[in-house]
Amino acid sequence: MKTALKMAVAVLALMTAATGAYAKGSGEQAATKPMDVYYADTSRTAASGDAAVLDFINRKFNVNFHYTQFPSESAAAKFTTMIASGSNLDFFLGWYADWTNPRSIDRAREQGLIVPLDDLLAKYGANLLKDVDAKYWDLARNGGKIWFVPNVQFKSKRFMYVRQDWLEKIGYAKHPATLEEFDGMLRDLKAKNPGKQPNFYPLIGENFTYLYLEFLGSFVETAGNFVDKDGALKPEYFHPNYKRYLETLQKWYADGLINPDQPGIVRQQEREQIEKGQAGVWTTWFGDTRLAQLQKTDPGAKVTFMKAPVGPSGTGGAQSVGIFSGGGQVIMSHCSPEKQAKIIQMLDWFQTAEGQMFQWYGIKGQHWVMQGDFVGLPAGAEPGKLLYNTFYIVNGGNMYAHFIESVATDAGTRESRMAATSGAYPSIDPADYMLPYDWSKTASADRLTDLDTMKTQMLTEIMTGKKPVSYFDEWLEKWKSAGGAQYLKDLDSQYRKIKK
Amino acid sequence: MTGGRTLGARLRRYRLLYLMMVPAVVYLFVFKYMPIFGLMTAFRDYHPTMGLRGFFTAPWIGFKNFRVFFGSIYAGQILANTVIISGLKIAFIFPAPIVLALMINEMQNTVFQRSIQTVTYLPHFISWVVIGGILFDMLSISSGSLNILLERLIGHRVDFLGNPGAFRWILVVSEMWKEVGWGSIVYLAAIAGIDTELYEAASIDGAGHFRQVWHVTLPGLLPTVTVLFLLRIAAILDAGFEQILVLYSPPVYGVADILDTYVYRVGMTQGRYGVATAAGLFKSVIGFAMVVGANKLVRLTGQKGLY
Amino acid sequence: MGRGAGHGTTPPYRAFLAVLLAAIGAAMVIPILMVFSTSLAPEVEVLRYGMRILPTTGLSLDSYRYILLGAEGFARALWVSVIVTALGTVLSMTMTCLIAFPMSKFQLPGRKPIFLYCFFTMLFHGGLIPTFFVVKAVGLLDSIWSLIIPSLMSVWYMILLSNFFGSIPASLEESAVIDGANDLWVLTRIVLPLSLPAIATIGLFTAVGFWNSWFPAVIYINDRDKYPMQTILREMLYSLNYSSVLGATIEDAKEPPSAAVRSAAIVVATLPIVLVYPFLQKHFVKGVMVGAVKG
Repeated sequence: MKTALKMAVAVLALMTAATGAYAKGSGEQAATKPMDVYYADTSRTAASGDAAVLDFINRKFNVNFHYTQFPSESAAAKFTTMIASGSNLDFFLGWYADWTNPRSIDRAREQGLIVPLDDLLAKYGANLLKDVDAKYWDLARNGGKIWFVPNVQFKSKRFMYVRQDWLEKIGYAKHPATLEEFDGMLRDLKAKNPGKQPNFYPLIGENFTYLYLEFLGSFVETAGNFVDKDGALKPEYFHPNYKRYLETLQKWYADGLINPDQPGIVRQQEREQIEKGQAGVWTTWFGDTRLAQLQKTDPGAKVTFMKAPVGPSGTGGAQSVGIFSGGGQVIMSHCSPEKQAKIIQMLDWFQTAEGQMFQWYGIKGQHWVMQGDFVGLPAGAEPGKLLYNTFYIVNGGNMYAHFIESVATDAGTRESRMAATSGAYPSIDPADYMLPYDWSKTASADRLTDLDTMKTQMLTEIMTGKKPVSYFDEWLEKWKSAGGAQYLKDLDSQYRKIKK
Repeated sequence: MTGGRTLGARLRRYRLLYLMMVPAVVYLFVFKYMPIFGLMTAFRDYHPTMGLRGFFTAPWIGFKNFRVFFGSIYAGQILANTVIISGLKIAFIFPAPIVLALMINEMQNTVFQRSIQTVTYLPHFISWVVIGGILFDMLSISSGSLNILLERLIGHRVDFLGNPGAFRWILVVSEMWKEVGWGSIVYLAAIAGIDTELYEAASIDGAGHFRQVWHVTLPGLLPTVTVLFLLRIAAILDAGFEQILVLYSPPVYGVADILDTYVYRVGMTQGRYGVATAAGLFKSVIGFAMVVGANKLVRLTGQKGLY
Repeated sequence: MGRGAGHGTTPPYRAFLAVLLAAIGAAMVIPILMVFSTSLAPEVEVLRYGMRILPTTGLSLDSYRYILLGAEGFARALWVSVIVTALGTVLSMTMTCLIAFPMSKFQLPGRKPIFLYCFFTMLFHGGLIPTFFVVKAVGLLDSIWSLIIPSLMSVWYMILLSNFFGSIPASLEESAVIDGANDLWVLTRIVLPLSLPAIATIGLFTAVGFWNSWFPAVIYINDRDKYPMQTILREMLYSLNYSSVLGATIEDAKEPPSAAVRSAAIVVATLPIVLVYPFLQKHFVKGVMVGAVKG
């Protein structure tokens, strides 16, 4: 009897100790009700995440997490009004780079709508500070304080895919490495038409810009602005190889290697071409192999990544990862200190490897499992359901690191997939580091849209053969007088300011 | 009407009418006139983060926002396109529903009438995004069904959506397809409202069918047509933003880029809210001038006009 | 339908017109049919062939199931749309009729300035952000009323309605006034009943306007439970177009719906109007003033 009592007391003591430890550990959380946290990700315009994933987040952080989805064409309007009303918005992914979105970070900071993050990061953001490169934190500083958590992703999110089953059919054991080999492969595809399509045009891009940028890197090593021999930063038009690129595009189009609708095509149409088996090589957003849809109509289809071919520039397309995307998470100033802390804690967890995998694929065991070094679906799951970042709700940094696991389209090793898709041609565009420059305050600001329109029109006219390549010189003069000359000045002056 | 001589007497007599107008007047004041303060942002460097007070405190920049589109090398082109496309649409698409209404009116079989009515108004409900997809399926060079047909008939394919010559007609025809049925509803209602006695009187006077249409139906429609025409003129610089945005592409910017699509691109790449407001203000001023002028013309011909 | 239907016309003329109208009808119907068929086609067929005029490999209700039963909250949104449309149409028609009637009286003192006051708002508007601030100030944010009240009246419809009211012979009103009626009585007992084609038309336009409206919810409402159906649908139809100006900046994580689902969405959005319209059609069929003045 005495021993039984002693044991009971001991068990009770143990339990109390355990509960105490537990309570201490999740201190405030266990005692308080969930906090409402509102988030808007302005980089995506789609519903994502499902109930189980949301539930996981709510339980893990003791929050009621609400995220706003923007219907795509109204995203700007919705976001603008949310900021203007301050309602239902606690933190959001703001954009810094000027040519993509309104400079929401700068504006929000100027109006006092967001808070500096230094103290919060010091207390709760160990993983963030460790993983995100120091030079990006530099970019996030203004007036000595950090204003956003840099969002690190791909520099160029385009990749090239190829119908691997067709290549095998026509005898290409290895992917082409040089531009000549790539050209030969396109012609072989067209001539042999392994998909038996009535009108077959092997190459297509999700939109014209994607196609253009994909092969630009084979001619201009930075696939964009480059530093010329005098040390000045110039757009690609001034590169010695540029006209050769125009010639190549024109020839490919004239020989029926590029889909004739390319100038006006949009993503949905490109996808339909791929799914109907009318594309051999395509450049699109990295998550978009269309394999699941393809296999519904053509079960033998295989899709793999293809590296952009090496051209006169000595390199290929600028596909690289781990680059500052031009955006970052900001916290609105109306949030209480507790909420600010909570938000940084969440972002910090999303930065960890575990958090990354969760964001991308969902709950381990429920939405995905590891199969070797691939991410795969658990037994019994609906095929085709595993998509890149289906589940990511908060666009945390370093999001690129794990997509490679689910590229279950190539029988090769993890290393080969990494090599094919990332790091091979690191971005060296110096303009990457000029993001703090506010273009809206430059003299050429009014004309940026015109210059862009001129560029697209020129490219279209030359590629489709409506104008000869020699037209480019005349065009460049027009470009200069339409605002290009001032743009060159602005571009170079800011580059010299930042060049160290 | 029996006269009320003094103003006070007349106001009192009509007091119920004035009372009836109150809800609408209040509504318009709150939801239409108060936001008009926002037009000031056309002349300011305004961003919505500045909130409501920003309407009054944002830096004044005069006509700088207007210069974004007027100073463009494309300025002449976009204005010309806007006017031409709008003009083409008015010329072809404005009369079409009237003609359709008259044709439907001629049918005796009510079942046929009703089914034609129903079928023709349905396209109005399909958004341009979807129509764009259908058109692409038909007209694309690589796999469009029409082009496949053409190749069999005449041996080669035609670039419809990328062809500056054809593009404007595609705009007109597709919008006519979408709106002619829906537009005829108003005219059918107007025809239904014509006093049947007028027809009887005309036929007693010996008018055959076509003379009845000429002397009764058309004049009966004229006030509605006039009003609708004047309203359409007010929107003369609206050439079909959503439609063009869906269908256009760089090869046809030269003929299809209108003020709204240009400003949309400026906004997308630079987030310049004030430029969009400036463009809207410009369109409103021009539309206003057009309506005032057209209304004067209409009244000169003896018609009632808008006011 | 207006008097004169085919009276005194020859059969060949009518036959010609009938054929012409049938051709026009066919031109409308075929794409509609494509949409309808695609909505019923199995997904594989749509992937393989795109939109079809008639499905060839069988029928499937999967697309409708996806829309109506999917997790998007479609059923609730449908209910929101019904409420908004019904309430909005009734309130809007009331307000519009109330002002269209005085507007149709050219002898009313001050009519012209008030008309200009109304008409001016058609041409000049502050725009999205200013209207947003007004709606916020009035306290309508995140309320279903924000889908109704800011769009309560269209000056366009007011002009049309007053035009119709004006075409009613003055003698009818005069006889009522002589009998002691006030303006409200004239409006409700005489003018409105005689204007049924006009009321039906404007009512239909108004209802369709509320039913199709999707944008106000995007900016005024944050709670997805209060979204109307069209907004949800619009979300489903996103990503179909990307201006090349944007390039690789805005990404979509989610698989966009196939052509089959999009077609089903259109059918669901359009069906109610198609069902309602026949009830209104009969008002376009009669001339309504037979014998009204005889007495």
